[in-house]
Amino acid sequence: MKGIAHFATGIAVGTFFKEAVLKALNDQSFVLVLGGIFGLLPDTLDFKFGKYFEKVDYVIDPDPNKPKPQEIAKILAKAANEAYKTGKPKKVQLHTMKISAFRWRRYGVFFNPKEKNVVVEIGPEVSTSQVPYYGTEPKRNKVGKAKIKAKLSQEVLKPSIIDIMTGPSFKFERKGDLLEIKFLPWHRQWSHSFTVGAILALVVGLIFGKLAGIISFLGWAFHIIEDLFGFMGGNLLFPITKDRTKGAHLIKASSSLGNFFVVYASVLIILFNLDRFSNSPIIKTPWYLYFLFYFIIPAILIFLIAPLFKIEDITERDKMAEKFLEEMDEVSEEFL
Amino acid sequence: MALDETVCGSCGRFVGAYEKCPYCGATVSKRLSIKIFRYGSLILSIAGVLILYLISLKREIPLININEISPTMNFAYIRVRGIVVRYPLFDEKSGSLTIHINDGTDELILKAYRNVALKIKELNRIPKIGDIIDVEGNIRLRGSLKTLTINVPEKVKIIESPVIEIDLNNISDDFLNKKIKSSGIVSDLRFYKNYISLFIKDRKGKNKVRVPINLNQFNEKLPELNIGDEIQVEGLLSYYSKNYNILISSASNIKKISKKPIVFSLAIENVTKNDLNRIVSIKGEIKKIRKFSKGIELTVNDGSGNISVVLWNNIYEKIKEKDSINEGVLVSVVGKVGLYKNKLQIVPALPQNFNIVKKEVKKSEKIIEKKIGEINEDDKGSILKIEGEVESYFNFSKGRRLTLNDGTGSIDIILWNDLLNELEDAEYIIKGSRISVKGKVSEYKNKLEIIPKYTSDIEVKELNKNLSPRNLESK
Amino acid sequence: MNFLNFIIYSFAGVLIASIVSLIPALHVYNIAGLIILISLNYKNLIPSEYLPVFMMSMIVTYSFLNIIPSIFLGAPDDSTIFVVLPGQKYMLEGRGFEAVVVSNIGSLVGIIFLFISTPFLFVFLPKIGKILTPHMFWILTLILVYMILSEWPKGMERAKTRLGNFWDAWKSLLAGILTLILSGFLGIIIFNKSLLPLDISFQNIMPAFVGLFAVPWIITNILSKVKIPKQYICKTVDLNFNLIMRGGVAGFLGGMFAAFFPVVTGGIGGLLAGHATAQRDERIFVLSQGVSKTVYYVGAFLLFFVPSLNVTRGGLAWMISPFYTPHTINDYLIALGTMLFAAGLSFLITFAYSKFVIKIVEKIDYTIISYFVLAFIVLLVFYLTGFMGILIMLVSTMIGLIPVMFNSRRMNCLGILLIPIILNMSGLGPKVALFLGLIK
Repeated sequence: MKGIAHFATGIAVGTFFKEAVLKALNDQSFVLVLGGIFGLLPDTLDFKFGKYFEKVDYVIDPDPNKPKPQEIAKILAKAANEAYKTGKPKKVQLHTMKISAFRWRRYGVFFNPKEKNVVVEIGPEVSTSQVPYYGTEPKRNKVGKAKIKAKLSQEVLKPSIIDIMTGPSFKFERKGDLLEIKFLPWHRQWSHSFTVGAILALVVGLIFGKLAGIISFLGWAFHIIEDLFGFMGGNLLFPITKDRTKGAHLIKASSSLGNFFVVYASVLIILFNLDRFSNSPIIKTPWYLYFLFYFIIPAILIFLIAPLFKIEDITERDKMAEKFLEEMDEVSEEFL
Repeated sequence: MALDETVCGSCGRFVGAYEKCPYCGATVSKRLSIKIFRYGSLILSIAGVLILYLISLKREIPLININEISPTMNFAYIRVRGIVVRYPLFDEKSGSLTIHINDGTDELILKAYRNVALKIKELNRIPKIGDIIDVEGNIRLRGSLKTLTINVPEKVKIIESPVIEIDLNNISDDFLNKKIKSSGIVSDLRFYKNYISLFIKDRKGKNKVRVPINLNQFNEKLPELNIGDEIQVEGLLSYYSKNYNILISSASNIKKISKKPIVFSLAIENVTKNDLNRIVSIKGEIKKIRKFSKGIELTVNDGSGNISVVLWNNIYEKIKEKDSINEGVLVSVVGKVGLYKNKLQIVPALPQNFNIVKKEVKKSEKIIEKKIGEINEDDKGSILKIEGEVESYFNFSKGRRLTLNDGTGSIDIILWNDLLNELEDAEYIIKGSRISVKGKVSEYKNKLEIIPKYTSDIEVKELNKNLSPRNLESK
Repeated sequence: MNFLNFIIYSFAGVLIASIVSLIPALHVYNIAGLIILISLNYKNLIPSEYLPVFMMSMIVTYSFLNIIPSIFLGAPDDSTIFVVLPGQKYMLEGRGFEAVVVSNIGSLVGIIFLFISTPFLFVFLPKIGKILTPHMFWILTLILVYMILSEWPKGMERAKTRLGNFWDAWKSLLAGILTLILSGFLGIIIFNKSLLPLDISFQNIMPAFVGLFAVPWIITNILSKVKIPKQYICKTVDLNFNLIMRGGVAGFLGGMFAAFFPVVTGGIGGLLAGHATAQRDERIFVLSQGVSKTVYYVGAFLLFFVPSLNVTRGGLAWMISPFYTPHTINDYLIALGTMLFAAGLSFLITFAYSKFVIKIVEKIDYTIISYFVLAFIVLLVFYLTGFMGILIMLVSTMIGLIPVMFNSRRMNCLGILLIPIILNMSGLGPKVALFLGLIK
């Protein structure tokens, strides 16, 4: 989910507490703000703090003027093989290739489990909106491959398309006789655990009171719960649990409709709760009718007509990713 | 060209705004102008804000006249000072406070909301009507409505305004929106659920001023007031609904001066419906006396007009000189003005409130008792008293003609309708009844007749109970 | 109301706004303030019954046309910026005209959505307002918090050490926070002390706004060494109904949010809506910016006329409120009619204007234009607010340059309104003012 969805959910959760709403109404208390802050906090801690303190073993920083896909693939394979051989995890940071203020060079990385290799392909130049500039793909030296001497295990069999802003990192770790490849290893670890949330909420509670602590914890907790519907789970009971769980794969974080409905539902909840705890409520319908008329029915209608408003993906990132997978399948079929 | 500044000379990679190449660490030269603005903005913004802050600390908040507030002053932070001209309103539900002030140039509404309003209340700085208030806030103009929003409760200062002592008859527009102290007689007093309508007048019964009392405005108990009480009132002078008003801020602003109610001496013509329930004193001559079952009604005239004076039986019986109560007698009466069947009347509450001033009756009004047979032409114009039996009667359009016979003779008695209608025993004044009549002898179509003037001139001595009123004949 | 006069004053509003919109950095609110001052002295200039017609036409036209200078006269210098926004990118690729057309379509869509939303404005918005108004202070706080927390670090992550990477990333974030603090502090000063002459207080915030937003933009134009490439006058645009609907809905939500909530501007509304609808396509981005901008400017003013609502939003409504108060639904209908009329005119003239501006910038170095505009703005600020206004403008300019120079969000400058208003609404304003010694 996008940050605003987590933010809105955190606020909505706080409004269920009559005491909090009345405190805001009568005492000008800011307690409900904590729900929003803690709703955003897990990702804030990750992307604004945690990310920068991750220690990596290898850094791949291709030159956009002379991208060398084979070099990239070799370094990735080296890190993977080392991790498998030594049993010690290895991390690799990949950087983007910035050409100008609004131009970047795209490239894709795919860990092929069937061929047990890593494939790197240099793509076209793209704008900051990730829209490719046709005809800018390199004519030569476009693809690099390197062998990985281990059976691969990945959270998601999905190529990584790297183009704008900052690049991802990978962690290679031996798990038995499998080599586990983790995308963004620093993300959703300690920051997406209920235990850390509880500790932070406890601190808040000690300073600002029990209600503040509870709302803070719930804002944090609902962020984690929402993320569990996606692809990447969370390390729910860090440090008791050591790694991220898998997500339910039900919704993409970047889904427009998904994000919109979470925000919309949160707004409806906020309005309903603020009203029912006010001195003179104006919403007279019971909660189930309220949500039926203002959420469920519109949601059904929108889901039904949404396909009519589908727009093509002009970034073509998914197209590049699909190409990797198709090639994997073609090669496997060849070998079958 | 910008491109040179954006590409590292060492490694040839795009560096954008970086002055040091993040890839290879080489220095990338940038235009001086950009460096100046970059670092200058940091330093100058912080310094500039501090300078503005220091300037603002030195700035006084301007005190302005309300009439100087113009539409272009919207949002200005100003100071005003004025007198509170309406009862401040603190709305518990919305948590807002509204105060109307006037500084002599114009009126302005002060508003405070929620916490600010509550804090003002907590600090006991809600002014009373008539207080001078000095306050700061932001001006807000919407259409013709001018308000000042108070944001800082601590900046609300209340100054007690001076009180001007003044007689009621000197009250004028010059004293509007000023605190005055004056005294007057309670001339009207009406009690409603949370409101008392109180009017005072001076001793001459003039210069009426209203003192509206909203009981919700204060918790203290008001002194017990009655019509006629002389009171001193202190409050803000205003003008509303064609009356000057003195708006009090607390119950202690009304003080009772007289121990007993003051009585107004009035000419009868000046006694009006406005004086209802007032204690007045009149003096005049009894013109008519009417007895009724519960008392006696006198019509008194002082030369300016007539008014009824009602003496209930319990009062009448205790009047010492009640036997002297006759027509023509000059009396003085102190009583409450009342209204009965749309007619004003004065009702004394005590026997001592009714006094006979002059018992003499005019010669021309001397009453002679005579036998009917003795009445002749020389008696024309005299007031005679006779007694006899009703021989016959008939009703005509303007009254009733009786023929009275006392055995010596008979004479016609004319009872005009106005008298007849007031006569209690009129239905029994028929053939066979014995009555005494006092009236003026006059002549009509060469025949003498007696015309009584007042109902008290007729007394039924003996009723003829055999005959019913249905036997009344008309000619 | 006379129909002919309606047309005349509407045209006049369109004409004035057309001229203002072409001057970069000049805001229609500045001119509105000047016109109000002039019409106070010359009462027959704009009779009060036609004031809303004139103002509505002005704001509609401005919302359509102001995209032109921002596309063509605000080219970023790569030496100063980190990321180029889509609209600017279009211009640098010679597709500036297309960007204007897309934004123009967005503005028209915004007008249509405003018209259709009339029942909503009358029925739902008053109820939503009643529920939210007592909670406004913490809602605005949440917006402020979101603005801070949603800004992403813009580092290259190429430092030798992890701490170096952290610092590189946080420079822009800290610049943003500094901008917020400084602008907020400035706002507290302005709200609590009348630094300007009293009789111009209704423009209290104007020198600060000019300094925070307009002047830095002009300065960067002057500093910029970018040459505008030849612009292509397209015959078609890369848009379809689905894109328009998506951009329209996202932009409408953002613009309406900004129009309804106090202090929240179109930029903030657009940010929130863009995040909420997770739009990535740059065509949708440019279109929704057009929608959001128009809905914000025009919608805020339109809300002023909704009888059951009693809100004053946006600079124009605040400026006109001392002189005119709408009372009945008739007033709303007149405003709506003016909106539609002016929108139709503005949509058509935008194309011609855009071509005219392209011709000018291709022939004249717009650095020169920028100097003239800077001089004009400085003179305007001085005329309206005097030396103190100039000082405030200078200080605000320095604050406004921080996000430009350090790649943080310009909307952090809105701390000048957000922070004092949040403090006052929450009751903390007087305490802070007392603490700072602004109130003794």
